[in-house]
Amino acid sequence: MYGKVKFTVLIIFLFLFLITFGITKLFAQLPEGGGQVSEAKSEQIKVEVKLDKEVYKGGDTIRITGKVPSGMRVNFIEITSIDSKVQVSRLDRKDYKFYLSKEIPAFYQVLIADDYIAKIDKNGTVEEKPVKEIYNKYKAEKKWRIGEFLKESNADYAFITPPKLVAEMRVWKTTVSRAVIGSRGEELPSLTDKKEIKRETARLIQARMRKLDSIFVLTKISNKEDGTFEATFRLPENAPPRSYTVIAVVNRDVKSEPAKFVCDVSFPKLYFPVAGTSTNFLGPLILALAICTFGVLMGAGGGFILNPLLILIYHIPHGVVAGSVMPSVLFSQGAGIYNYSKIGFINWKLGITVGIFMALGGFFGPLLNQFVTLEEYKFVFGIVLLILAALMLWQTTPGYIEKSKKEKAILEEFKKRAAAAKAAKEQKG
Amino acid sequence: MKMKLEFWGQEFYANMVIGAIGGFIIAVASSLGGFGGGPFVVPLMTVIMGLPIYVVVGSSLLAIFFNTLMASSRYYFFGQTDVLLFIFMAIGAVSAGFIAPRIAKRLSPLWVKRVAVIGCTYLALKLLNVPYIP
Repeated sequence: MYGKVKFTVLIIFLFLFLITFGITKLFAQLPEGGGQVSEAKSEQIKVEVKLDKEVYKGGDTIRITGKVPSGMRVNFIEITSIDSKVQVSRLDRKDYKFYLSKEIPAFYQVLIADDYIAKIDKNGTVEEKPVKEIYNKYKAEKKWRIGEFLKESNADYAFITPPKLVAEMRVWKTTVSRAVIGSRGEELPSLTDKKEIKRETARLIQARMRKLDSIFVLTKISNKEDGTFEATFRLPENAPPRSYTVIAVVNRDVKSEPAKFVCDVSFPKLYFPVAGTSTNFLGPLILALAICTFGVLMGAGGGFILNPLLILIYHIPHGVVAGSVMPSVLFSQGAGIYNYSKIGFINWKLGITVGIFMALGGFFGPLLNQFVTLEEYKFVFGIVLLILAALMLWQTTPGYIEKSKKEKAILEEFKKRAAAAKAAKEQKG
Repeated sequence: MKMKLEFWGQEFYANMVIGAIGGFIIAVASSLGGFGGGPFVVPLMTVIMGLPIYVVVGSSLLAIFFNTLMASSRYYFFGQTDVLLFIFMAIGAVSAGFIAPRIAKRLSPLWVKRVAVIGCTYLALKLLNVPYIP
């Protein structure tokens, strides 16, 4: 009995010993081997990147230098604002899905070495093409697709940071019946697949920056024989504030750790967080004042002229322009209604009946604004402006002036009567 | 469907179906674009609905206010309102309300309108991407 137990214990010990030894040996081998390989690899492929300063201002030129292992060259440099993010949405016209993310970098740019030869793998055969050609081809196309460009130019090697910033990408399936009740559609689960997030993030970046040359810039990256490289990059005047990352990219697997810098935006420049641009605050203020004054003089609000100018001058997304200018007329409208109501000059039945239907229209308009592209927005706005111009032209014709003179006289007469009645009422009271 | 409206002892009949449909369309366009609908609602009520201007001036403002209020809150909840930009635009709009009447006395309204026609046409052509527009 005793012997049997001793034997069992011995066997268990032996077993344990074997396992421990085996595992230790396995472990000892794995990290050793793996470590050696990765160390050798990291030594081999270490990419350094340095910036000449830590803090820049909009308009400054950044000097990017660094070193790559010999035989390699830096082909792409990715620059991302990682703290300043904006909300971007787009409607996919193919499957009517509406994508929205609040974490799209307000500034994003990929510098591409102008002498880079892109390699495209077409069913096993690698085709080579100068990136300049590809770039110019896509630049000439009005309806370019960022996914295709990233692939063809190999710039997807450098499309690294934005998908990491996007923690949540919401998706809606839009349907006509849902849109009629003013909804974006049926909300689907947020994207979780990394590839899908990457693809949709790229598309949202295109939806926001639109032009090829505002996302991708062909530039000279001078790669020397000893492996050092140098490039310069001009931070735009309207660059958003706070931290940025810079990553130098050789190919799909070889890239640097992100180097960081800070963009300083100081008074009188201000950062408009939803619009995602920094600008001298006097610009929009003077513009609004001048245009609105002219707007009142011509008998229409300022929005007609202000909105296109904000888009054409400051490149603010059309959704933000409409969303920010619209509420600014509430005060003057409110004041006007108050003044007219004081002298009993509002027909409430007429105002409220038409007003209810206008409120209904105001419920759909902002939703449609999210669904249209900038080009469509410009088209609608252009047509509206033409109608407005025609209306005003009609108002300068002699017939209209004659008629309006009479009407104005009646209007003044009624205003006097209203004021008198109001005064009489007050006296009685 | 005609609706009876009373205004200072006078009675008017206005076609409310046209008013409702017209108001709705103007409101969709104006809230999509982000401008007030005043210059369109006034002709809708005077020319198309046949109401005199003195009934329309105040009432059209009330109707537009509904649209502005609704659209502004929608934009705000969609996260499309840049509050800082809104503040500057509001300062501009409110001060314009004080400045414009003072300038208006010295200007011929006819000429202001003519300049506005040219300005709006130019902007429209630019927005419509018409070639050869600088």
